[in-house]
Amino acid sequence: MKKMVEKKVEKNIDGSSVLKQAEKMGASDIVLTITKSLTNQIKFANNKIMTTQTWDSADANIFFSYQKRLMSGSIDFESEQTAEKSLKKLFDNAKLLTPKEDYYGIASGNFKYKTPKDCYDKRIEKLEGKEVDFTQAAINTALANGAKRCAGVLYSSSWNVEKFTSSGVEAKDKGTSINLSIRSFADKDASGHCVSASRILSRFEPEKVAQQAAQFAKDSLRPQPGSPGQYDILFHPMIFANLLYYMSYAFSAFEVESGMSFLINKLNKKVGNSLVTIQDGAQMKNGFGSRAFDDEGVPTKTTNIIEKGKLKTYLHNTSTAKKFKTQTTANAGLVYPNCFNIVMKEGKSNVDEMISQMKNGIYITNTWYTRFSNYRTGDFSTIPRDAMFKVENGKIVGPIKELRLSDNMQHILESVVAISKEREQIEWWEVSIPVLVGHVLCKGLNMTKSAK
Amino acid sequence: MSLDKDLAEFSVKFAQKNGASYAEARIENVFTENFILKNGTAEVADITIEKGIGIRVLADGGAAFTTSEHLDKQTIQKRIKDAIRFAIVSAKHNNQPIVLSEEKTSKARWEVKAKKKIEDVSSKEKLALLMDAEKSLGKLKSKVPSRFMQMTNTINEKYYVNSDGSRISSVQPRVMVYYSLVAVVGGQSEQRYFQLGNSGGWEVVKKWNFIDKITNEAQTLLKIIEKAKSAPNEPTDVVLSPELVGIIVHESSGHPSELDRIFGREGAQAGESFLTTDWLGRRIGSSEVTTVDFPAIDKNAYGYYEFDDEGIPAKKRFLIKDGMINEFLNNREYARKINMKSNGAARASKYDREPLVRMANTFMEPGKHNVDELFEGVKKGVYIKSFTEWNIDDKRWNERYVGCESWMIENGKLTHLVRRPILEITTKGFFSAIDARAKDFDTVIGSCGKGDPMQGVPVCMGGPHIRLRNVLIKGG
Repeated sequence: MKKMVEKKVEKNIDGSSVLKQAEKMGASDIVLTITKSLTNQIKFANNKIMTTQTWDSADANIFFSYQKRLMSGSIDFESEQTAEKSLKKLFDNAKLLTPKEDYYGIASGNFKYKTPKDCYDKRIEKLEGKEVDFTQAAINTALANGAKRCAGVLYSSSWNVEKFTSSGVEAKDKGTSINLSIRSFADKDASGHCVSASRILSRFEPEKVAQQAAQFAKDSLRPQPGSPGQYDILFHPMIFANLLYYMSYAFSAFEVESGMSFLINKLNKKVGNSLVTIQDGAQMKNGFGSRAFDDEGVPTKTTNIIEKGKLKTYLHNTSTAKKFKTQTTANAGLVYPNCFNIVMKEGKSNVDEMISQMKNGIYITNTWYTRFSNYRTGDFSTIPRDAMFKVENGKIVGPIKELRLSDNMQHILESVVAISKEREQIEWWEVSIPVLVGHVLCKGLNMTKSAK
Repeated sequence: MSLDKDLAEFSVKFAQKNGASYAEARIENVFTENFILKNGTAEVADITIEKGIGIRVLADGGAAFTTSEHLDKQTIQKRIKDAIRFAIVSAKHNNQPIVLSEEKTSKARWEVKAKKKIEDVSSKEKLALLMDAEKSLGKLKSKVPSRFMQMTNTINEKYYVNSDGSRISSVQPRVMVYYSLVAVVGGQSEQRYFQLGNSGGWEVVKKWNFIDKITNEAQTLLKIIEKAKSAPNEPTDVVLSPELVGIIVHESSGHPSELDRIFGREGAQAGESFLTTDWLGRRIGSSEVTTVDFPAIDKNAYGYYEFDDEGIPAKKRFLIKDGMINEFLNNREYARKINMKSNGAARASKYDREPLVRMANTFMEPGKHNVDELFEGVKKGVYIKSFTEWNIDDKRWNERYVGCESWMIENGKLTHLVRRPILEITTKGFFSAIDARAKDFDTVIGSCGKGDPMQGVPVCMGGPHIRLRNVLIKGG
């Protein structure tokens, strides 16, 4: 849903003329977005570079309303004629649709934009193959710290976005990013996985995370089968980021309207421990998902979604906000409002203190395959992978394996008893909306296990 | 839409002239349209047409893939030169060159013909299918407050060329509907999501009985809330429907059989496999178990293809035969590593993705029993007909399936609904517990995710009803 529209854009695109043409056809609430990007990837496994990949993309998409019939699609800018033809095709189809009676338009206003800090670094645009050196340095660091083999990807990317709307928005933004995801193996069942994600080169730490991943791999050698039951769980940022990412669907007004959010009918109610404050931080310095404006062109801001355990707002665009009789949170998605950077406010603890509080617990460092048996209640399970440790009476007693976290999203938020001061920015294959989060300690969660 | 085949041919020749020992190009036009109905309200509709090229090169033993939506020679030349440079630089860090298996070349054109073309059906008619389904729910709607339906139709036109001499043209339309329902009564709720889809034109929609299906599903959810009792919490016999067999075969036989995964290429993403190459010929399950992946099973199958994205003809692959690990899914790079020929499992979701080892249509072979006979042999057990949550670890060994429509079996009869029984079991435990297969056969569809960046490819999966003896079911 979020990325339904992609198309190439050639040379000089005159966005305003497309807007005029669409208006002439009878369209309103027109939003034209033009994105160009160049992305490089180095993919490695078994300590070798398996392939390099490059994406040279150029997309132009348009959204409009025709008498509340909502349409979006690609515009072919190969020539004026192709642009007009693709617009006409969209318009002809729009006429045949059914109106969305609860649609309330897009934002209008003469906006001023604030560019998030540390989100563009021209050195990333000119790496010219240095990505291979970063990758090799990460592999070497992992091997020097106990890994026998490692796998992962390194991405570097740069892009620029232009937006034109029929409400007068003409906005531009640009950005860069670089990120490494590295998984180290010390043996078949002993692995660790860490990531470094940054918008600027100076905050990119490939060797640091390679060392951490290798350390987890080494520490988890010869894991014993774990036992199912109720445990205090210390979550590494990698796994809690995954839970927050999957939880974030429930923040969207779209899912609340759909009846698929476990936060439905809970505005201004307690949904978590008072330690829990969750924000969308679209203006965050060096935020991997930070941006100057949302998909309607509304200037982005920081929004407290859950504040000290209380649900303060859902995420809105202009139309859903009007329906819910509130203000947009600048989180458009023209159809689906969503987070740009999920931020969990830091706590006061450090990891050693958190471990010392655990009588009968488990420290989980990563997970994958989070799935819901019921989105509306938040019932889910997820299957930890990589290093996992048993904790008894405040001490790590050894690595374990083969357990599954089977619980409920709201129960997780309610069970938080400590959050670390140190946080990490997480973005990887399993967490595609960036998350800034620390270690999180929860009491009394349910772990299950497969029968033989 | 027309494809610039000359640009693909030019790309391969240019790559060879500039140092590539092997090159291939896929140029594609991809039409996609989406219609959404949320709780009876039409959301935004979307129509996109994408054109692009994906080029893969080998140079000095290194590999690189590049893709562009700028379809001019100047841009393509730059992209290819950069790709070759990257391949050469990365090869310097590797001690083993990437080599492809030797294969016969193919020149072919294939098409899934649409009796009624997607583009000849109006948006109004397409949306009307969803609206009719909504109407059919009638009075049920008040107890099913969450109703989401999405139709996604695609037409993929492709031209593939490689430097060995293969040239494959193809056209493939697909039609798909996804829906999710949440029923709520008195604070209790149950959810169901499902997909229907085929390769082919609009004519495939008639086969689905979509309106009956969604109405029945809504009624079933309400019955589960109102009538289901707790599932047993003990070892018991279990009968699984083709829907469950399909997902389990996909997750526990198909994925671990992917040879790139076995060799660790997806280690940091979709994970590795409990299988190693020395598992070939070893027992994983009872002699009742034969699992197959066959891209060309049926022209209307959702995962249908005739040639893979390396120009290799589709083949029937027996992954497990009579309970023994028999064959892995591979591509040219990984076939070479085990001195085999490719069995045609290389797929890319679109021009902007590299081909990876993928499933297509994966299923368990049917047996000889009537479905009734499977139930008749159960004194006490659970029948799981549909499922909701599922997951599996990244070696494909520990898995969990949570039942949606599920029944208690007593003395061979279905006696009452049970709520969300959980089958949490190992792959070997599952395949070893199968003692009977029915002779029926059905499939469901899905989008299978793998690769970085993610590639969702259309697949189907299924099999017959099967019976498992004495496996642990967890209930509430």
